[in-house]
Amino acid sequence: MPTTLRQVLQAFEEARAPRTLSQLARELDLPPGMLEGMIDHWVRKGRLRETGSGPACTTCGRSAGCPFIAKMPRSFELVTGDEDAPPPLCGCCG
Amino acid sequence: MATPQTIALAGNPNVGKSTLFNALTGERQHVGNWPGKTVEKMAGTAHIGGRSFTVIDLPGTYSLNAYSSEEIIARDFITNEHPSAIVAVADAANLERNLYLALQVLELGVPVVLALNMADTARQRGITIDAAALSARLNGTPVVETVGSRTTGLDALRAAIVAQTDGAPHLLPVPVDYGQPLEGEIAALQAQIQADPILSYQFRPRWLATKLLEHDEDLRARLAGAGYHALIEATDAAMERLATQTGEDAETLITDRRYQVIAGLLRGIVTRPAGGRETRSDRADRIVTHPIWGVPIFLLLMWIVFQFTAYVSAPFLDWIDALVGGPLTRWAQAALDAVRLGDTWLAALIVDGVIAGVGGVLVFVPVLFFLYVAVAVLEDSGYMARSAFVMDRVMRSIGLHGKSFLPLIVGFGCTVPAIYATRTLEDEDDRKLTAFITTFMSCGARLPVYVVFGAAFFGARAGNLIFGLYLLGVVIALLTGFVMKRTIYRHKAPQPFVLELPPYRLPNVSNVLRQVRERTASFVRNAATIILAASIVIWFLLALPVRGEGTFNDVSTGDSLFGSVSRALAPLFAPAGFGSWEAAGSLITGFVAKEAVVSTMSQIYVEETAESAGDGADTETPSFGDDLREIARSFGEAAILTVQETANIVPRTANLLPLVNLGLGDWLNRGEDAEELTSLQSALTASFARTAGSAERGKLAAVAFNVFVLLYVPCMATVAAMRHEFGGRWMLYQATYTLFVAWLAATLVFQGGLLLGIG
Repeated sequence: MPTTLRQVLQAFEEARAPRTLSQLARELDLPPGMLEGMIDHWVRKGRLRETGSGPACTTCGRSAGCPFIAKMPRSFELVTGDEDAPPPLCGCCG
Repeated sequence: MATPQTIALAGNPNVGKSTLFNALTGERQHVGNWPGKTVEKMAGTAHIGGRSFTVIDLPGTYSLNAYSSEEIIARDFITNEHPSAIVAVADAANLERNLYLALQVLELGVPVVLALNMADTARQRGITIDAAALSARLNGTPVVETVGSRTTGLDALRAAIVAQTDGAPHLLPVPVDYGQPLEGEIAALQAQIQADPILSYQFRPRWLATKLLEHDEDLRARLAGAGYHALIEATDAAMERLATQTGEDAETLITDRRYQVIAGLLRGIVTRPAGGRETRSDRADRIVTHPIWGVPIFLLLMWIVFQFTAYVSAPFLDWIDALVGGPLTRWAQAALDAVRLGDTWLAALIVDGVIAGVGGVLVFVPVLFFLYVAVAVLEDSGYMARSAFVMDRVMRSIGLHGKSFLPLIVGFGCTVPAIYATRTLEDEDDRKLTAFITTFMSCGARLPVYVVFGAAFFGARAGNLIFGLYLLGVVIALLTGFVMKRTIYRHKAPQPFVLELPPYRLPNVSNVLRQVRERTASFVRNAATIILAASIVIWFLLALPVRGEGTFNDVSTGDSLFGSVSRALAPLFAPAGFGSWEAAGSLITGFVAKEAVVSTMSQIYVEETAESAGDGADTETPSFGDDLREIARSFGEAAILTVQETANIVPRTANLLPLVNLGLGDWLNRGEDAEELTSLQSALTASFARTAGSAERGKLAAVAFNVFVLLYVPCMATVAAMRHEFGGRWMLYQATYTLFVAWLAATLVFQGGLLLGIG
């Protein structure tokens, strides 16, 4: 019998379409808060990757106030390779 | 005087821990940093029941693992400083998550008070918690419901703190049964730790054994530094055995078990309203993010946004236009006359170049302002995140990466950051493809062009034109992506992902205003720099004669250097219906920045109108006082009209529905005929009608012109960003492709329209 944590990871591996955290929580019959904690576990273990929160930029120090960066929600996806994305930039950094 | 006992507040971020800290300590606080860290340390004094306590506000953490400096600070404080009690602050509405940290604190064997904070929010959501039963399951650990912001439950909390620090023996600690085979390995390591008096004095042996199995890097390093190599080797061997037996690493097994324990603790104690765990936001999302309904809802909202932007901004657009074209120009001319520069080329540069050019763009500040208001409201309400989810489905359906939606949405603001935002995509081909199509998303700088043409040619239906153009940009972007994904970039399907949607909420006025201020200021800064420079350059090019008999600053615009170059390019645009040198010239400067299209038109068309109208018209110049009075009066009128236009959005939207026609006259009527064309708009309608052959054909040509503006290279900065990110060759491909698509689409619109009998 796989652990609940393993079931969460399997849900990502077997997913065919994007879902919201609430949808996945209902599918796995878990409280959303607990699912969030479990996803964080796999993010720490390097099996899932957190993306989103807006393409935050680290270059010019204005990232928080960059007028063109839309506020976007956090999203999580399976890590499939060992690729490293370069740090995101925003246009206001020139 | 007795040394005050120390208590610490521990909890997840954003659970109201600091509010409780403030309520307990009042004004008696001091702020510093944790030794050797940049993390802020808050300490204060609380007087409870005649006793003094030093209260420490620990950094917000989700666990006591050593993954962040905050977690290490919190854990080290509890294990090294031995506080008399810990107040574990938990969000009562999210206990399942928050109890994870509380359970780890309880495992440490320190006296704990569990504060179920924000209990009011939990009650509002219909969540009930049997605090007494929970306390019983936690071996008598006091459980108190609090609302830190209203100081509710504070007396009970203070009483619980006093009870837990009175020195009497308490039931300690709360054991977590990890089950076999974990318990066997924990017991073996525990025995090894207990055999060492220093280690067993410093740490609770069972806790240390568990942490070592969790592969706590910080503790392992400290033990290795102190020479406990045998213990680390024993831990590694235990971890290997566990992995072999269960197929799972020890840390995952331990974490999983803790969540199971939490689920068991809360079973029957936390009850949620009928409908289970579905919140109101979840129920709304069933419709808003529905696979079928989500897209039309998104389109309807975008339509409303553009109606709002086009109509609500119109009164203030007219007001600024009148201000720039009237009093400001007169005052500048009067000031130049006063210093005897009125008849020089410098005066012409300032009035016809700088004021006409920059002013022509600043006129659109209200348009951008209202667009940014609408976008900020959608962002702050939580809808923008939903739109990303809805769009994501669309992207995937044509084979694009789901994360491509982020740059595309950023592209509605500005294409340059959108190109850089593609860096969030790991795959290089996905990045290139997304950046390639991002340029078709209509950025804010193109909007003034649509507004000028929309009002000039389509009056009350300008919003439809603008909405249609935005939609066309999206369609062309998706079509391009669809084709490229099936030809050049044919490879694996993108990974699906899970998105955390924030709950819906009423937009926060200060958040909305802050975003609107920043974005509008950025537009104005752009006008004050790039557009100012472009306006000056264009003025010089317009003042330099290359044909006819004119001299510098005394030449008809058509005979100027700018006019001649534009005239050479104009035939290229004849199939699209706008083969005039004025239109071609505006498109050339649009390559520098799209705002320059309008500023160039302001310079060319308005000057031409003045030339044809002749100088020295006999109109009485108003006095300075008259100007001020008129500015104030027209401002008030614009404000009233803005309110009326805002109200008119309701019937405009309702009229979209079949069989509904509320009419606009019934709602705070501004009247459809209230639109007055600006001098630029009048010149545009005349020029496009002349070039295309008739007024109706002029309309068609105007649409084609806007389609070209939408689709061709956004600006010089975009080209530079594309070269910076993907190299010169890719930049050339992209620029050539967009120019070709723009020309083809504009020509198809005009010629197709003629074939269909329009015009």
